Amino acid sequence: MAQYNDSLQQYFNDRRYVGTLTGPSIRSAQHDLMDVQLRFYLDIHNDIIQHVRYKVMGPPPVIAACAWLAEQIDQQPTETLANLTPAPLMTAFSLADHQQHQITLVIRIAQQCLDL
Amino acid sequence: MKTQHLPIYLDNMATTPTDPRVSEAMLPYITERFGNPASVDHAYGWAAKAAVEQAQQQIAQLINADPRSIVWTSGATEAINLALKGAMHHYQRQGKHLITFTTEHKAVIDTCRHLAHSGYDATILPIQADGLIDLEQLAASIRPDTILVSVLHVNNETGVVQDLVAIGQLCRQHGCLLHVDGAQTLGKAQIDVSSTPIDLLSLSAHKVYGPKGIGALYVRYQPKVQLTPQIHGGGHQHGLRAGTLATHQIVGFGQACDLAHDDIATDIERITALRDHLWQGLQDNLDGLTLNGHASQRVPHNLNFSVAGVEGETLTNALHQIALSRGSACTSATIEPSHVLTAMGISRQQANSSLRLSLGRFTTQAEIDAALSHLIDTIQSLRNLAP
Repeated sequence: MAQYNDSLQQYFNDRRYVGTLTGPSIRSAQHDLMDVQLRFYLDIHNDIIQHVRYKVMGPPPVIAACAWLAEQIDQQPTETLANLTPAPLMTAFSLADHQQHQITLVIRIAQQCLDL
Repeated sequence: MKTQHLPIYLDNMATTPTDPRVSEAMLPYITERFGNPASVDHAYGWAAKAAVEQAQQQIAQLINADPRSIVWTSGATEAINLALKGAMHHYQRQGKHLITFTTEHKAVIDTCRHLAHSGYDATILPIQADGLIDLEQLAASIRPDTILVSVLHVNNETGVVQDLVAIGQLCRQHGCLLHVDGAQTLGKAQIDVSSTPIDLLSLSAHKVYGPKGIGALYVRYQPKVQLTPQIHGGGHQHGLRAGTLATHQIVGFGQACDLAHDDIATDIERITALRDHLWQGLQDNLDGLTLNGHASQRVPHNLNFSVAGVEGETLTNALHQIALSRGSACTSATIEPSHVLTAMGISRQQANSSLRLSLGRFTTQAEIDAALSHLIDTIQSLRNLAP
């Protein structure tokens, strides 16, 4: 088992913002390939992300990335999500290059909620 | 210095803690009785030699062998190398074929592959979905030029136990040698080399509450099995394995075997109850658990099961209160499923979501209760996390 840095481990252990959102204003996106199952749910009003939730099955970096991302965009303008890139997470979690695709996936799926 | 709270140790098939009674027996041979057993001219050497001989007796007693048949090695891996390479090199004029199985430890498989690259012919047979060897398939695979069959007695990943009597009889009928990888055998399952047709048996100390870095190879004395030595330099152990004997480790191994001889029945009874309590508790509270390997032909020390609905690395990361192994191994960039589980027909995903819990002599009821609670809470939490 890989040993992850304290930041990743903390987000993985705490796992905030887990759940689902329903209703006509909810935007969601999902991914079901390559050992990762991911759902993002955003409640957006006046271009502000009022609520964010996710459900995920995948390796620890993916789960920690979901928790980190949710924290970053909660109560923030949609621009915050639209402008997110993997770089700050890769640094914060001290991940190796070959793990970047996992972070990219999480960001991309969340950003797909904005496309709807 | 900050004291780290250590997890509950349920990884006894990886290694066992050294029994305090073993450490106590070893200590004098690190301190005042430091002689070289090969020093024949003074009391220091005589004392060391006597200690080595006593340890030989202790191991021989546990496996019901002639003490003269015990060869000391640095561990089971070296014993396996000596057995396979030594036998194949010695008997190569009679044949160059050996047989083993897909669920063997890498020490055997890699040695077989090395022999195959060196001009020998290695057949690696599949096994059945429950982890047991197909005896008919084995019988059909033995050829006139087969020198050796190598079998793992107690599988290190699943705990499945092979029928050595039946396999040994097959080998006898066909006139080939039987090597048994007994690294997990001592203290977990009974073995009797006098009544079972075993020619070579590799043993490990650190799997039976002894020290790391010492093992032994049983080499049948009558009728004598011949081996070509693999380590040269000094003619120790009748030329079979050179190198100064590590008296303190040998003493430890001997003492561990002595304790195993006395404690095996009570250990097995107690550990069976703990394992059953753990497995029943898991099944009562969680669905989607699948036991890997034969349900009854296994040692009680091992519980290897797959967990549906949870990713494997996440599962073991979240189970931080338990020291265990999972059904996969990490390379630098990928996670590969266990070759044992995939050889049994278990899917990659299921293998990656498998856990191996292995109990031991020092596992307590309180630890099992705590582990059970942690497992249930963690698996439920991760399943709630999933879509």
